[in-house]
Amino acid sequence: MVDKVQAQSMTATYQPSMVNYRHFSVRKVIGKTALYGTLIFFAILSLLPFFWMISTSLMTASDAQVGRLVPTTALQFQNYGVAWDEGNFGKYFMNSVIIAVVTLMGVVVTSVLAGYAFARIKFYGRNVIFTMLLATIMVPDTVTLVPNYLTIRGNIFPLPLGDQSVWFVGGNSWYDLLSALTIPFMGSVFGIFLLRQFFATIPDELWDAARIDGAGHLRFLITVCLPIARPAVVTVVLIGFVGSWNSFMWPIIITESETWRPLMMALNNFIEDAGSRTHLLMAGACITILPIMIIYFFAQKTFTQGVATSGLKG
Amino acid sequence: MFKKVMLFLIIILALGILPTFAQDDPYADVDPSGQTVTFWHNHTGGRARVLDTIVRVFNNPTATWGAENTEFFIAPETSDPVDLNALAVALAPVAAEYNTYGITVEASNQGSYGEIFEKIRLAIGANEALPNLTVAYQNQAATYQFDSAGEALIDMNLLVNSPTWGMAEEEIAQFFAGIWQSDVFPTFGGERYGFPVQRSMEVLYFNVDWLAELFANGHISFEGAPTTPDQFREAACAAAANPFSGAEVDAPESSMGYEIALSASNFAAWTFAFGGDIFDYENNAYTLNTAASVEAMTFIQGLVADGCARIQTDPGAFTAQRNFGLGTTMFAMQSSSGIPFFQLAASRDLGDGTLEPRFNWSAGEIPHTTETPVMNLYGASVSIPVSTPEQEVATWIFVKFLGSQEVMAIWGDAANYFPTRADAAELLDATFERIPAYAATFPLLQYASKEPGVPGYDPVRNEIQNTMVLLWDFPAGETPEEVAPLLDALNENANIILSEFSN
Repeated sequence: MVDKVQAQSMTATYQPSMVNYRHFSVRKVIGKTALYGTLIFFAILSLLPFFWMISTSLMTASDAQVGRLVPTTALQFQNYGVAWDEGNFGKYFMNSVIIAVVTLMGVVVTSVLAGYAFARIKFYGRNVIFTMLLATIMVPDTVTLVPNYLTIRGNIFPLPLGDQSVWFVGGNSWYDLLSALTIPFMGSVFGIFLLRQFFATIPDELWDAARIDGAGHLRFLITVCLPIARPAVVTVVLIGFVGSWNSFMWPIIITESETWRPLMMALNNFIEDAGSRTHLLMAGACITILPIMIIYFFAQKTFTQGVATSGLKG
Repeated sequence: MFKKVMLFLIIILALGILPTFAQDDPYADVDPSGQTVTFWHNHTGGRARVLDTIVRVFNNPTATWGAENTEFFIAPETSDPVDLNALAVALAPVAAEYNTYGITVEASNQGSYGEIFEKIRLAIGANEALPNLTVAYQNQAATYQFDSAGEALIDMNLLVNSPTWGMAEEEIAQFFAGIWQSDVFPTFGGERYGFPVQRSMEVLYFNVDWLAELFANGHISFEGAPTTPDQFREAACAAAANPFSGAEVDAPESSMGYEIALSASNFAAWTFAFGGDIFDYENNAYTLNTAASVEAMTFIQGLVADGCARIQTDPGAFTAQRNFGLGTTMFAMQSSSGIPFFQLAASRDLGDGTLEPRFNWSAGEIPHTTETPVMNLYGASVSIPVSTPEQEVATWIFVKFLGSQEVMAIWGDAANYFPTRADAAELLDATFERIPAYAATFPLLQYASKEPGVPGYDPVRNEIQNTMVLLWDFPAGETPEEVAPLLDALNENANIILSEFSN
């Protein structure tokens, strides 16, 4: 009898919890489905342009001209070869690599040094200077185009490393030179800001310990801060690389010959005033984004770490 | 005493006359031998390759061109519109007539028209050397002169009329009068800042088969392309209601009569077709609110309100070309230089590069209320920036070469731009046969009108475009904005901009 009562009572107490559990489970499933459904929807949405780009790059000219989503004939892999040859991609590709590497070397050096100084060295006017530096992010590129152009042409003050040279030796104008495409971009406010945020999080105890060992700021920066800051530095490099790789307006203004024209100019070969050769344009676009995709693929983990640790939000 | 007076008078006269002779031809004693000419242009792809060939042959007119000579053989590319080696062989004798001075031209793409405009304005602002030759629309050339206080470009009249280097009257007479005059600037004392080596025209692209279908089914009352606004409305509305049997089934947009491009050239073309003009050249003022403009814009607004027309969804992606090619848009109005792209859109590629037309299409006049068509003819000329007299003459020799009958015909054939001289048509028979739309629009050159070549027209074009959005971009069923007040405001703004570029 007791057993029966106990069993009834157990059943009585058990059943509601089962209902709750079921209820909770259904809600959870619905929630998860909605969540994943939404995520999948947006993932497809963001992948669609890539799909369209790749698909168009494999179409015939007439299929691309009417904006089809998928090719109606055999895949035109030869579009890549045609785009490469006609856009002179070999030349422009190499130029872009050199421009990006030279620029990034400068960006890393200036960002690390300035970021460290703003984060860890107390000096008069530090916050004011940093605020002013940040404010320059708000100035649109179009506003600074004319002054930048005048500076590069040596009209504001003579430039020491330019004119008539292939690399860095010559007269006072950097027009049509590698220096015009790299040096002005070696100071990145964003890079300085990012690294400053990171360096500010390094505990003072580490600095104290380094001081006891006789280290100065430079040694502390190189031996202690930089190894820790690897993710943040990689983030700066990646973002700087994308910026340098994608630049178009400035190179077109500041170059006249093909000597240092970057990859984006090659894409311009497929656009005319009354139409475009979309299939070649997309094949060229695929070639153009490939290095960025590869670099991001290898640096993805470090990049995510860098974004997370420096307090950046999307 | 008398002798002394006479001698004195003779000396005075000589002093007075001599400079006049010298002024007649300031280039008389210039030797252009061995000069290098830099040429900035906007052409890409096949057009750039043709231009490059023209330049290469000009630089080496006595070379043995053609496939046999490896040194001068031009390796073919997929996008070459013609056999460039054959073209080089045909050009060489012409080039030999012009370039007897060892002139070398270095042509390079410097971006689009807009980017070149930007670059040259920056260079003028920085007081830097300009290229020896550049493509420039008339309003851009005028802006260069405004920016530089009249010192950026040379007055090409001095070279056109030069007894030593100029052009014969008979040759000048071959140029279409309206086009020839379009590079002469009354606002700058009648000076010539450009030379017309090509032109395009705002033309109406239409689906021939669809029109025939509408007529056969009794949906429209006329055969062929519409020539009046009433016929245009009839066909556009009929097309919107009766889809084309040959339209692609998976087309992204519904059938539409007319796909509107938001551009100032479109605004001007419709105003011209309704018998008006957008600029008063006598009083040097914009006239964007005349009765013709109001009537034209009201006409288009009515088409939009009735569901017979829509603004093209993405002009940057040339959606009007796309929808036209898919058979869902009956009419599109665009530059004649777009003919190759419309041809591509309206064809099916069989996979081996062979194009098979999906339907018959053509291009023609803008439907008009005037007795004869009035076409909006535009296009960049080439302008010669100030350099040394030797370089200016060398550049001029190259310009004359570009303006020769043979080169114009070759350029017209390969690039599908219109030549600016009538006798080029004699050499274009094969082109007319190959591209019917080009043949159909070529005779319209005689009805040319033009947009104002005044400084500051570029920002005015933006203002016009913004107004077109206000006029035509409204939800279905809603009352659109009134046309006249909007055009009044537009005209006022345009004239304020003009005054800013006049001081």
